[in-house]
Amino acid sequence: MNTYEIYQHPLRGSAAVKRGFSWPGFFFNWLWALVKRVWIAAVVLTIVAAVIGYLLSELHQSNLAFVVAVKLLFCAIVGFRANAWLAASIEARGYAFRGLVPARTPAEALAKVATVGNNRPDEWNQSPPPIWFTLVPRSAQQVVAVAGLAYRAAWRFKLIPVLTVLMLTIVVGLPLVVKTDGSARGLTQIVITYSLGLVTLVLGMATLWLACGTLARDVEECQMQVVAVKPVPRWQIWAGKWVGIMMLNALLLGLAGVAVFALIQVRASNLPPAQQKILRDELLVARGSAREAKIELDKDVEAILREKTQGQDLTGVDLNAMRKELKEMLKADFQIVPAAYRRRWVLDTGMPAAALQGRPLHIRVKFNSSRLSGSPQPYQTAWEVGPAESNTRQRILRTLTTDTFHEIAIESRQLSPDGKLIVDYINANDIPMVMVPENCMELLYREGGFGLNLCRGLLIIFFWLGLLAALGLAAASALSFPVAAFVALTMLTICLASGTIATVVSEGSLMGGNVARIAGDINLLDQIFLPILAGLLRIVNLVLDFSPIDALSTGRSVTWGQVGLAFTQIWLLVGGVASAIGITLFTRRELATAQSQQ
Amino acid sequence: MTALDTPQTEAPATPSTETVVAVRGLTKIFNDFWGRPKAKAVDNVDFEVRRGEVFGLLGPNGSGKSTTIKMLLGLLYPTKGHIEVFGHSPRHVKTKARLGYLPEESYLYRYLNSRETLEFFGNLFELAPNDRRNRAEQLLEMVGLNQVRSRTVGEFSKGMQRRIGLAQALINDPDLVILDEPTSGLDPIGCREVKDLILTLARRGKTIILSSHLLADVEDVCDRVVIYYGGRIHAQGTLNELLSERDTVRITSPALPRETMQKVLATIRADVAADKVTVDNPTQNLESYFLGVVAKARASEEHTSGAISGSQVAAYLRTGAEGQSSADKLLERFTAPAAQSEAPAHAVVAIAAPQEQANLKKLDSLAHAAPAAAPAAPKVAVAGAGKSVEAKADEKLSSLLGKK
Repeated sequence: MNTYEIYQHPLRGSAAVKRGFSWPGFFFNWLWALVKRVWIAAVVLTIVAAVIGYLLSELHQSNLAFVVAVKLLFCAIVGFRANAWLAASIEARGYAFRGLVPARTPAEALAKVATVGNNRPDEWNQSPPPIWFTLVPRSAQQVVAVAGLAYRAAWRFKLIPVLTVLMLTIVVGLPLVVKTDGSARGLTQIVITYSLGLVTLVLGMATLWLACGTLARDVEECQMQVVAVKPVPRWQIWAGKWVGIMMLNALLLGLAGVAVFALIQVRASNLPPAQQKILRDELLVARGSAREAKIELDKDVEAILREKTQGQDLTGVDLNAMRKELKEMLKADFQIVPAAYRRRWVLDTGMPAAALQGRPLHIRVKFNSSRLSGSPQPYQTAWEVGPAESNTRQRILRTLTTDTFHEIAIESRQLSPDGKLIVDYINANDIPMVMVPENCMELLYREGGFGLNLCRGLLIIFFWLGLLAALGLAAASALSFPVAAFVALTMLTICLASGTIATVVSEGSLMGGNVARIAGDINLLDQIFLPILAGLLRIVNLVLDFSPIDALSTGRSVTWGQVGLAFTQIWLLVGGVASAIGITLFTRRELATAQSQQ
Repeated sequence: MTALDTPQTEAPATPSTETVVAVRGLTKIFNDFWGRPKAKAVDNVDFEVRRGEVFGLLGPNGSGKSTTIKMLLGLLYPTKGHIEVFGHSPRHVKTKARLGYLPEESYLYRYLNSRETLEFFGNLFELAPNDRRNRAEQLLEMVGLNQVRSRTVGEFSKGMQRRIGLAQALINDPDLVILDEPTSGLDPIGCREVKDLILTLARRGKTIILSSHLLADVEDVCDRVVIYYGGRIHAQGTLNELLSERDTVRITSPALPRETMQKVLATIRADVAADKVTVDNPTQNLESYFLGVVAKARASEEHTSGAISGSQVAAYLRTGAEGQSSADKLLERFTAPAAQSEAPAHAVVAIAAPQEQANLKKLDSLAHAAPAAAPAAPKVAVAGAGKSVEAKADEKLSSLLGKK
């Protein structure tokens, strides 16, 4: 037995709308909306169905599962919402709700109403269909209710449709506007780096604004007075607000992710075959990275220092400065490759070579010349890859530019059985070349597919948004909306200026390194602010220690380990502190003001 | 065992001695940004509210009523003094499960429709899904918003907002209902329904604290009142104690022949000065007249896009209170000083005492304490033409305390 909502029009008679899931809506979605004259839904559903149809035609060979998943999700959403849309449409046409009727079909429901007239049995209205199960456990009922409030507000105030259009404009529109060089790298640069970066920025700003608004305005407009007198601990109100904002972010970020994934797949089909191969092998993959083991210089520095200073009077000698100089000298030995010299790297993948057989391997290199130049200059480079004594080593001769990352394909058979790769660079130029240990050589190998990697990358972005939501709510816990928004935006700006803060901290002076050195001492401002900035930088670095967008656009793995670390650092540590401060302030706050007294 | 552990389901015939709200030495000082005292909103207030009582808070604007209510609800924290609600601090979360609160304005979410509003608050009380939906349906029927359930609260008129506000205050079947101006913005039908509801709840042993400027409403439902001025309580007691004029007599009878009237008046004037005796015809109460007109219109099924008159009180709120109608309760209360009004109604003769009664003196003293801008205390009128004792007191209070 179903339950039908009965609506009555003064002139047009009665109508019955089923409560619950609509199978016709599920199967026929936009056609159902047209037949039922739910015009707005019909237009929107037709557009969405057309987009899905286009994706299906483009991707049915390469990503059928993805398209089917999107289609099923779309149908399910329509099925769940269809009857509510129909009821709203009927009411908009002047019908008034009259009550509920248990019946098997709409016709039976209307017949029942016609039979009883105005003498509807009370139980029809007073016993709405029982709910046999709920997804929300009782312990989370209050938090979910508050969360649902933020989510509903975002729909009713058209925030979700507006942000959705904005997201899609960025993801779909930006690549159309920005000119590409027709290469696979150019495509990923725009679709992932620019689009996803911009989406993150827009969502970040929206999150901060929403977090400040949803709490501060509830307090200012006094709705919080009605909520806070219910048996809900205030921390749950706070948490509910946060969860609501994150539900929005999950929806919008998920949508942006799906759009990015679909767009890049569609655009890839228009690339030349060679570029498609690059895209598949180097960019739309999750590649692990192997680097040279970190070179420990401190022991060598100490040994040299002992040797040089043995038996000498060290009074007044700045040993730390000596150590620093020695370290720089030793580093230079590793960095400089003189003309006609060779530099060797041993890169350990940490897995047996058999696991990587047949998979595309690349070395990612970057170098500089010792000749001063304002722009990247081309140089001949020679590379030998493979076991040191082998006569089947892969030899590569390329003209590459300085100060730029280059990827060179490597045969997987050059790996040693234990998964190590030996790479030699031979400097055939007449000047020394500079190889900075931190970024000059890296081995990239395929670990997984792009889809899951994108999900992991989006998760880290989601953690960032969660932190911004916590910061906004914390500010709004004690401040009015405009002040909270100002404070939160200031915090965001400080985070974005972490490079400047890092420079100040490394130079040891607010006035610039040279000024401090000339003065020869640290002034009062530095004494006060440097420790604060250093602490702030450590906190900011905990948050910005991850670069999912960069990793995605260069086809590197965002590992589960990184996701776990991001969760710990961004949510548990920094977000936890922000939440604790916000909840404490909100719990202690008086929610009524002198203005409303009588 | 504390009061919190004993939900009130039995209906006491009269207010019990169990204290639901206890306020001792309550003081609230609002400070400025620098922490300096800015205003003393409530000053050393003491009162108690007992179970089953309808307790009224009266006072002009800024007298401290709402501040007191907000301290009772834990929204403001006292500067000094002590509050207990069901034996606990107002900030005790579990205690709040027994409270219902209707604020003075519609502080509801404007983007939710009425059903979503009730569902939301039902969730905050952790009501089971079926229970929540049943109660929401019943309350929507009760407050007459069933037909506009899908319109958002922001689209509602003020009266409709009061109705949905009242519904949310009752979703948990509270033991203590705090109503701030419950009839403000309501049409006369709504006012009558709210008053009936208050009396029904009181019969079920629920305790009601009511703040209102509509003194006639307060008189209709309250057992006891306190009158605030400048943050302090200036008068406190039952309505009977505060309002009855024991030295004035009213005789009501069917219309009499002219000769009989003259004889009666002559007899009376033998003992009382002529200017102290008034004769008139009682008029019908405007509220009753209005309700009659609307009842006729409803019988002819005229269409309205607004709130319709609510049906009977929601079933879960009625349990245990079926025995006595609101009219009975009203009658019972008004006839309590039985000796004063036994004659059948129609013509009324009211005779005022030569001296003012004690409670009117109290009001006059209040008036002297009022600021210069307030109207001077009206001269206590002899039994006014066609005015009941209640109406007279209402008028007096309004002019003394100012209208909101």
